Amino acid sequence: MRFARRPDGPYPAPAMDTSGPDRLTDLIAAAASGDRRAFADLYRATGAKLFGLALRILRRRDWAEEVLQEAFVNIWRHAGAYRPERGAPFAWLATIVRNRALDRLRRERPVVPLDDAPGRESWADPGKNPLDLALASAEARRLKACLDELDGPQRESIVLAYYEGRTHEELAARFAAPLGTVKSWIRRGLIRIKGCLER
Amino acid sequence: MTDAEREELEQQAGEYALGTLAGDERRRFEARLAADPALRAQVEDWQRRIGPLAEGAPAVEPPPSVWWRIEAATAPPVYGAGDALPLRQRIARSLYLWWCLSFWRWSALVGVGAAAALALYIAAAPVAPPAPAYAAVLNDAQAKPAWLVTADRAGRRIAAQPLAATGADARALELWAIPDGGKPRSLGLLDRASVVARDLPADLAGRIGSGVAFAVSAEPPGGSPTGQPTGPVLYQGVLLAIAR
Repeated sequence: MRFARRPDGPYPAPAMDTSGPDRLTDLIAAAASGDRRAFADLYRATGAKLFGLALRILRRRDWAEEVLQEAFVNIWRHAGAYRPERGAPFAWLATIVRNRALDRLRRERPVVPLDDAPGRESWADPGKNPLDLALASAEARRLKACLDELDGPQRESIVLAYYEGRTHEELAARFAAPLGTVKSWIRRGLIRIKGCLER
Repeated sequence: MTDAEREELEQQAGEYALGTLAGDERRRFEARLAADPALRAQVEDWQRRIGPLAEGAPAVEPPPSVWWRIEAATAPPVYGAGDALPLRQRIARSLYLWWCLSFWRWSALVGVGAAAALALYIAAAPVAPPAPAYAAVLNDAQAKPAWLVTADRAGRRIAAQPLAATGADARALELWAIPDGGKPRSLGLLDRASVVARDLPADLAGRIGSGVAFAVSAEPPGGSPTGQPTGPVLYQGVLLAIAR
């Protein structure tokens, strides 16, 4: 579609602009002061990646569209609450989108078949760590290094929980492991990530 | 709180941030979270730690209608949030609205000459357009009003008229209705110099009260070849009920 090419218009480019977290921080700050163009640029720079995140968790386009829409309305209203010391700007945006997606998923879960939907295969390999180092921020590279230190099941359960919004019970079913075992993979994995990031 | 309890809560904060808590566990944790700022800070710490994983999500371009809806929902109100405004501003807005809608009066006036002539031949009085019950001001990218779209109470018929000169341009202007959560539906081409009236598709008419958005895109002469907007969106706004 030609929307992406409109020079003065707020239409999404297909990929995240990785020209730097500083730019995203500036755009969030400008949006907080009511700059609509900055807000549109923020959407253009991050919308596709955040849509992919919501879609991955929800596996339904209509829900993912609604979640992205609600999240950006929220971001516009609460942009002033962002502080760089509270984390990288993209992670902050992603948390807002992901929380909305998880809320939606937990609400709708009873009617969603958990059978794997099409389009999941490239993600389904739980041993695969989907962080692409070439494009990742410094925070993401650090996190990747810490994930690499975990035992396989710890890393796999955390990565699947993050990208697919799976609960303890669902992960237990997926790995055919007792619930308590999966819980402890995740707990130990999280403790080790925390320790690793604080080193 | 014992150390063990504290440790348990921090663990749960991590699980909550990761999203693996569900059902009663999740509800209990959220109830606690609402009352405990320190616990909220712990959740935020965990979100900061694992948040960079989001960079690993695939980029999937959302449809343009998502942005239209975001923009419509965050646009500065022209009128519609009037109840929250001081009286003076509300009056100013009412006058503006009246000015916008006075088109109908002018069109009626212009019609008087023709109608008088017509009346010589037929006994029926000219039928005035029904009073609009919904209105949307479509703004340009600088939030300047450019088009007024009005709809009757039943939502069967809409009218679109220019509020400002939109400039000569070889491109056609196509009007789209976008229901909440739905795809844009073409309502045909606009006339830069005068009002056009269109029938709204029946399924949209029923949802007229639920915030149908309108957008105008620039299209090749003759309109979009695909049935969906292909050019840039120049104007947009959301249909609101006019308070009586």
